[in-house]
Amino acid sequence: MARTPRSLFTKIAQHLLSLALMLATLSAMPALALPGLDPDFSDAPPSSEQLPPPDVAGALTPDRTRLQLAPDLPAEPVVMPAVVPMSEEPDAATPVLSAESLSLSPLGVALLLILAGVLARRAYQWWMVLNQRRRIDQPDWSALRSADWPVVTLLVVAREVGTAIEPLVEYLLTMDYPPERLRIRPTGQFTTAQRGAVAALLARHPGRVLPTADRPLDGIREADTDIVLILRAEWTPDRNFVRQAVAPFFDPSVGAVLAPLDPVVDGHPYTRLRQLSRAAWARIVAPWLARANLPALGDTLLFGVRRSAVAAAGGWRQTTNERCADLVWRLFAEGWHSACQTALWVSGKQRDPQASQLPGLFVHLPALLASQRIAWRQKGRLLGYALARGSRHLAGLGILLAVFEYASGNSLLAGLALCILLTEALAGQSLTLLAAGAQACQRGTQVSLLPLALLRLAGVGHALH
Amino acid sequence: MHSTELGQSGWPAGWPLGLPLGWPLGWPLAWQIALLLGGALLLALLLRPARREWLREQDDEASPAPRHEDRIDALRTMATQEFSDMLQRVRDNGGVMRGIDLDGEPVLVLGSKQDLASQIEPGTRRIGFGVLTSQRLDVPGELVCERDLFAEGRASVAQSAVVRSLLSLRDVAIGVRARVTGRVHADGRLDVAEGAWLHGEASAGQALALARRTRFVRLHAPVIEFGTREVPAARPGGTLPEYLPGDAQHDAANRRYIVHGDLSVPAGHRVMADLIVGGRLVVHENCIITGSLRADRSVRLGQGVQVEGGIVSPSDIRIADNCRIDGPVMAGTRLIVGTGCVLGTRGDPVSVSAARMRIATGSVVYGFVSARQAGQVVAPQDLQS
Repeated sequence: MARTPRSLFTKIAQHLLSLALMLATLSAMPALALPGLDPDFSDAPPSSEQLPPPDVAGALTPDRTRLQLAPDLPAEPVVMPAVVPMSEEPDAATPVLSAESLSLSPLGVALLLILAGVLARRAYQWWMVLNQRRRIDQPDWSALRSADWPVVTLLVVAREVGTAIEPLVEYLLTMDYPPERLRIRPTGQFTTAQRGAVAALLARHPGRVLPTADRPLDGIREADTDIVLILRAEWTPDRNFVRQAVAPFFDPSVGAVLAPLDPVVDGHPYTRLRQLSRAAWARIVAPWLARANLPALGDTLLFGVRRSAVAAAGGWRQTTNERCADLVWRLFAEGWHSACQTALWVSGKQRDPQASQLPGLFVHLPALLASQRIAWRQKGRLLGYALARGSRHLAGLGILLAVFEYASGNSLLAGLALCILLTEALAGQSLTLLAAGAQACQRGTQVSLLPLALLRLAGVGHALH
Repeated sequence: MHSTELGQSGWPAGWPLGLPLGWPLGWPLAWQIALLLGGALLLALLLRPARREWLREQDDEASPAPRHEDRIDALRTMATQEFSDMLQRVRDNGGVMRGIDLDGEPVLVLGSKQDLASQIEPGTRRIGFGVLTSQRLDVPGELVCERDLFAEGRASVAQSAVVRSLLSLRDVAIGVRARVTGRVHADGRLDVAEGAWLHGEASAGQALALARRTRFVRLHAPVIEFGTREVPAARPGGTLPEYLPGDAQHDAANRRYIVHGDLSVPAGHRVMADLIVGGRLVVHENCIITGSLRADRSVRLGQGVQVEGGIVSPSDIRIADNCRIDGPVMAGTRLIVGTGCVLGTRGDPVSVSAARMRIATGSVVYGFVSARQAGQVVAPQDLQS
């Protein structure tokens, strides 16, 4: 059985934490004697079916039908001035939803703002899902079949001792790319046997296979071509790999090429889920980020750099943990875009997935906002992106505010907010990604969801196809 | 005046369907169970197709890379390997032979002096067998061929005929308003008459010529001529003054200018760098750009502009008459190319790609053209419509 990726446990832990938060919140509601749990919304006296059996100690009192799971708490409700007292009959001439009753505390206003933000983001994502088929407004780099292809260096990075480098290099030499314009350089700490194999390759393919380098950074630094591609030796690229990785560099603004890794199908359900998620991400999220000229970091890896751009951005910083994300953000600050090439297919196991690039973004955010080479519109998008990446934290803050709102007695708003935010925190992203996957048609992947199928039947489907 | 009695919360009493109002915890047990079951059923319905997809072991295709050559390669393999004996026999002896291909579909093998029209019943509108011939192949007008066609000689598809895939070791001529629903390839020259539709990829070993009003998706040939080729207008002589964008960020090390808003290059200037524009880019007449162009909004080139690099935009690209582009032209949405334009050179072919494309007659592309949604050859006077 395949080894379960580390990020699986991280995700499970995150969801368990969210669940624990939800349960804690729900259990805290009765203890706060929340009017939101009050079923007495009608003037009619409660029917006998509504009442609990009398042997449940302190559960409901017939006179006020207030839920009191904790009998020692005070029976008097917490009444806000904006709430009509329940014991009084409402004035028939006064509308129930008056301006006075709608007045909110600053806490409520903040909660409403968070709700609006969360809902707007989710609505925007759904809008993207429904419209992404119609709006293909990115250059199709997979259509770049004839061009004056540049000379490139391909670094084959062997991180594990004993990786069979020779067959991979032989395979890479047959790539669909002009042979005289592709140079392959094995990189890593090799055993004596591997060095012998590389020496044989050098003898067989003089000029096309270069001597080994100890570290990838050395390989990049010593390359004599402007474009350098990076590939790990344990991954398997498609035959179009070099062509697809080089194609975005014909855009003069592109300094790096990112692409998601295609997980190896090993029968593990998590791997399959990742594959589906990747297809949806490639169809929805990546094009949106590309449209906004934002780096498509998150589930991608760096497959190619323009050395002149790297030099302009200050070079590689070996000390940082997330070197690729660090470089991409610094390139962005210098006005270089990072293309996400979803037509580039490399399959392999991602040992250290770049699950979150948020720290990298926040570290570089001041420099990005101060950069003269980024337009103000772009900076606005960047801020929105940062907020979007932090939506889980936003939802958590909203849940906290909702609990306080319960305590303050504004039960309607708090209950609504809790439902929305908990759904958002637990399943919002997953549902949107699944819906997006309904249209993901890469590698034969066609996830389908019933609502979207019904939409198609209802005639809305032309927007989806 | 209230027509409905409202509860204290503002909702009508007993709404909806006579259900008791308030939190579901206050509902009768039967209603709570019904609510739970209904919610669970809805969730199960939502996730059932996703679960089925999830439990599939793997995807169908081994590789996502577009394999435009597959069908033609398969056809060539079929003709040169599976049916090579039959073809040799009819080549030597003439006559007609019938065979079965690897998919179990019938195949008609025609020898010399045998034409397709003589092998089908008069009035036949549709044939369901493949055709291999060692000679010239003529597809009669308005005939629908549901299987692949192969000809060692010249092939012609008459007016309003429909073929699926066609491979010729010589030239191919597609007639007026004929349609090719799949792939067509000629090792020699491919000529497409007016009003024809090429739904798949069309390629040629030597040259590909499309008449006015033809529609296409992908074209690949050393030379792709749209309509009758115009003689390029004379280029401006002499040295042009260099244009330096005033409010641009100049990245001297990488020879590029970064402009946040729109940029307009005045007529008759030379730009010696790449231009990266956040808004719209307009290059007026007779400019020379020694570099590549990139604009986020749209790119417009005036008449007689030369770009010694590529043009990239996620939006529209509009190229006026008599321009010359040496690099790839990649538009996200729409590409319009005027008459007399030359994209690429014979030695350095280029790729031209957009979602929708209109190319005026008189232009030439060396290399590959891809219109993801639709491409059309139009007369220059129709380009504005």
